[in-house]
Amino acid sequence: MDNRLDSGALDAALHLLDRQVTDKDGLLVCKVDDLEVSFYADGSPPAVTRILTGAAALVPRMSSRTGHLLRERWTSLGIQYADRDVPLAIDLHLVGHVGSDIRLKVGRDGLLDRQPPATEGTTLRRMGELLGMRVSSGHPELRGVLLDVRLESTADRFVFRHLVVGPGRPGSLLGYDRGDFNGPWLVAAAVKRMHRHVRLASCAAIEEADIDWDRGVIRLDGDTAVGPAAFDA
Amino acid sequence: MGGRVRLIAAVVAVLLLGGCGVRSGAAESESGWRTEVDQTLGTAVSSLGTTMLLLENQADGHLTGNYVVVAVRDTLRTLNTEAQAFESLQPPASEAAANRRAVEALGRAVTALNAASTAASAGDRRAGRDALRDVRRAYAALQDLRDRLTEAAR
Amino acid sequence: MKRLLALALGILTAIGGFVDIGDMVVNAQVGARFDLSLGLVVAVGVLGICVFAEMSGRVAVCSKRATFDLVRERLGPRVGLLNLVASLIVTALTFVAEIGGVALALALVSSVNDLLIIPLVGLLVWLVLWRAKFSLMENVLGLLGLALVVFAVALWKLGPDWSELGHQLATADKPADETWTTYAYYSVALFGAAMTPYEVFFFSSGGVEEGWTEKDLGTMRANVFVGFPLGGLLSLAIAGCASVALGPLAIDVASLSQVALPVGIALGKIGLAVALLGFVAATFGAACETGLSTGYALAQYFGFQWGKYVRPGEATRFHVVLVVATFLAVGVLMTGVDPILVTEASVVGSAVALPLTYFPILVVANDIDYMGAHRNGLLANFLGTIYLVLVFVAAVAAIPLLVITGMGA
Repeated sequence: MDNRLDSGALDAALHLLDRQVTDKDGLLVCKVDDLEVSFYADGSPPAVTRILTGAAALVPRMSSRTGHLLRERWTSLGIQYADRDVPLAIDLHLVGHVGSDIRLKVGRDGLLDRQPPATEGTTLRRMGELLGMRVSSGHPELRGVLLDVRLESTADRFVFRHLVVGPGRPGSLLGYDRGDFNGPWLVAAAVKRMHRHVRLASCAAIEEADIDWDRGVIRLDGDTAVGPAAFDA
Repeated sequence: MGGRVRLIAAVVAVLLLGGCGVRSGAAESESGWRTEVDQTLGTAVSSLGTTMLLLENQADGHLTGNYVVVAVRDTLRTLNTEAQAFESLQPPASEAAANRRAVEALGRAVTALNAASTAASAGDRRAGRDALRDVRRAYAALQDLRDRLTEAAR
Repeated sequence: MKRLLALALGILTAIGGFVDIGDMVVNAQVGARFDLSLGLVVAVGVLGICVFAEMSGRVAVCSKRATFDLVRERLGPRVGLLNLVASLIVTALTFVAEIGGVALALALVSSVNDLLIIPLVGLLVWLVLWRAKFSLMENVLGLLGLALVVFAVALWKLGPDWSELGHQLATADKPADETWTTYAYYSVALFGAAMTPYEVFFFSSGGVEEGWTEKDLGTMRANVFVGFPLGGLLSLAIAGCASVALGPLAIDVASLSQVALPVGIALGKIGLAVALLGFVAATFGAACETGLSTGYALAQYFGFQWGKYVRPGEATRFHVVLVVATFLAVGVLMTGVDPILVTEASVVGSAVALPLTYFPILVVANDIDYMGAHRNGLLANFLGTIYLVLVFVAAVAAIPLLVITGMGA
């Protein structure tokens, strides 16, 4: 399978989340349970900076946004551990290939360590928190929730380019929005019908303060550049 | 806390509903009893028929001893489970006589299978022949009883 | 010549490995009660597993990802977890049933009580899972499973009215003393017995285990499209035997011994011995496959190393799962539960759990990103869509039918 890093553009939910991570010898390491998202105080666009894995990354994705019941139970199982809620992390500069798996440039022995704290001027969030958030905007075509984030790969991070916004749930596009495959007819037609209002919103101007993390709402300006999602490219 | 109360209420409701499905001491309805008797006699016919085939074919030298021992034991176990469940039922008053006849016939079937099982385990040819005769008789009697009960239901 | 031999070997193992305890029990039950009037359902089920296995095999070849990897990628962690739990329950039930089946078959040979044999069988299964080479395990057990061909010979020897059998096969009618609801229930059970999810987990993971490449696509297709239907014919032969030998005496199949009885009647002691050998091999093979499948599903969901293509020391969690699964299965059987009952529950459960596995594979088999030039063609998509509908209908109908008919009583 082709390396997504070469083509530059990739989708967070479609191409990264829940994929298998393998090491340089092809041995299996873990799954991409979540992605670390950095927001920068200097105004540069947010970016995916690390792969997160382990129960501390997976359990919150199972929990509902407001409930956190599962996450609290998970933490209470090992209340004495300070890092119970801190997931394991893999730096993106170790990733050599993004295809049907995420292939690393190093061996797996002793690879995974806890996610380091944020550096000065950055705020760390997770992709799992972001996906599924309601999008509130003055723009008439933007309706529904954040289904996916279109990224561009640079040297050591994947920078946010567009938000894929539409009704439904994250992952329900099943890759049909790429427009390069179309079968079987029944499934493709159903997905397209369900997602006929899907739009790409530019996230050049998005900041951490635009997002209400507790209520799960992303506020976008009314003058955000909006384009169609390419179903039939 | 509201969520927890609701959860407990739901669990209690499910348990209660489940409890209603458990068989109580009350008498079966007529149609319920008919279904039960038909199924139980069917199992008995099936077990006796299997044993008949087993003993006949063993006599012809078609089957190995070990296989017959286990196979007859299987049929006996199947019939025993079913017969015990049936005997613990309380029949409707109108069917008391029919129920007694069914229970008696089942008892004879179990006896015949017991004899067959013993004969098979001991490898006793003569006892096997006698057992086969009894099994055949019980098979015919049960078929007959089942037909009559089905007939009466119509 | 060597390639041809490999091809023949693959097909033979596919035939021998196709039948497991679910197929044997349900087909014999249905044959004794419905004659071959449900034969069409078997055919539909077998074609279904062909379509499904070919797709997931092709996906495994092209993407190097086995089925449960894709289940999580396409359904996400939540629905994926739901699928994992459902599939694990069904696969574990099948695992229990297969180990119990091996013990029952050995009990028929030795007349030792099966409860005494179960721990030994569990130990043997675990040793094979831990130590034996993957291809050796598959080939030996698959070839021994071919002994079940004796059912076809027995059917021929019993000399049924072939035109009558053919008529029953071709038409969807039921015997007068059965209701349409029991007919529907057994249709779902047969469908579930033919299309068990574990077969697909095992088949696709096996493709990764054996390192299939695009050159092996032809071999894989031959195995599926020749081997599986011939295996399906064995299922039909079992049903036919039960129909001819047991049906006239109004016998209901409730034990494994009754499944073998027609062969003894037709072919005598040697035939019986071959049939019992076939039982042991088929159930033992399926026990290994289901045992591995529990490990495959868990490992592929959580991302830890799985497989027998690496040393056990490199896939320690996977092997721990196998040990625990075997231990649990033996523990369940030691309670004295009837393996035949477990089998019946597992085939209905299969029908319920299937859509969540089938759907993501159908989507990914179309995805050019994973498949490149080998994505689904028109025919594969046509059949795939028909089965998508069938699989959903069977899943929705399974539980209500189970309740209404009281497990087909």
